[in-house]
Amino acid sequence: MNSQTRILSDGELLTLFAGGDRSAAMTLMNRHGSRVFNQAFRMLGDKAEAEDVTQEAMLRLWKIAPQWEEGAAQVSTWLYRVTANLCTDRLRKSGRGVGMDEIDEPADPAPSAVQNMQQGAREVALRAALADLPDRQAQAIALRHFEGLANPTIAQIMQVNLRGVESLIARGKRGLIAALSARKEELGFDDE
Amino acid sequence: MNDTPKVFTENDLDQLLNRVAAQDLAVPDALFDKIMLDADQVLRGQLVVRPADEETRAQYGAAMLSPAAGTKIRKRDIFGQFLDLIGGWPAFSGLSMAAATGLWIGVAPPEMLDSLAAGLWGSTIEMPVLGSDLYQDLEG
Repeated sequence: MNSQTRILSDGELLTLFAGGDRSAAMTLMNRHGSRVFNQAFRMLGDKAEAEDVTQEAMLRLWKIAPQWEEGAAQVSTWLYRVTANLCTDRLRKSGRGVGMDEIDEPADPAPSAVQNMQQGAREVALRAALADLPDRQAQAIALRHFEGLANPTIAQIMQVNLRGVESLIARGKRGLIAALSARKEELGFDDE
Repeated sequence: MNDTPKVFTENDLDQLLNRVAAQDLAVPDALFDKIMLDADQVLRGQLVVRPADEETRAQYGAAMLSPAAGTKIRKRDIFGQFLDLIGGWPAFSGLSMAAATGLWIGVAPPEMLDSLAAGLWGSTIEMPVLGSDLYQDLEG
């Protein structure tokens, strides 16, 4: 008797789910849920919103299951794209223009607390600048620098060639530097 | 004293990006449960599988969906369900052929059938399909 068990591919799990197998959804959630959630959190900087995006992205996966073509795409690639799109939609709608005065004052005015506050303000400013970038540039930056993906993988996710990815990242970074340079005093970069 | 303002450099940006990249959270249990509840509802058909419209296909990549992704998933109609029940079109054509043959034998039986029936049951009788009165009325 062959005791070896083969690990099912994501596509096979989706097919099983479409056929009514709930445990296939649980396996897919275990494989991809954390990555989707953290991708959303890093882009949005808000746990509640990241939860909403994760729920929406996974729901779309469940719904697309009957139409999924095994071998045509990877579930991880599809989820990266859906999550990135959902996040840029939210960034765009919410307009993350948050100023320093909207960051909570630290309870402890010790240097470390002030530094933490400043770091928090910088992250908020970064996400605000990201929200002001064109969607594709923001997505390319997030996939490259937040998710640490290689350019060929980003090209696959964004359905663009390698040169396109490089161009999106370069232009995006220039845009971020310009936006953050305008706020460098406010964000304390002059002090360093 | 150095009065030259510090420029926000690419290195500053990379440090900021790396700091965000290092953030990693565990998926809350409640979120996991909500997502599995969604999966259950999709399985039970409570959340309808909507067709992928043009915008969705453009946004999420038509290449990743099957060619049928842009079309509505239709429920089989009664004839389709009947076809499925009997085994598809080949079974249906066989059934039609048998029905036509039976009708033909009933309406115009070959002569050998009469002698065969007489051989089996001893005798045959003839009955008009239509009542004789009605038959006469039809003839005028």
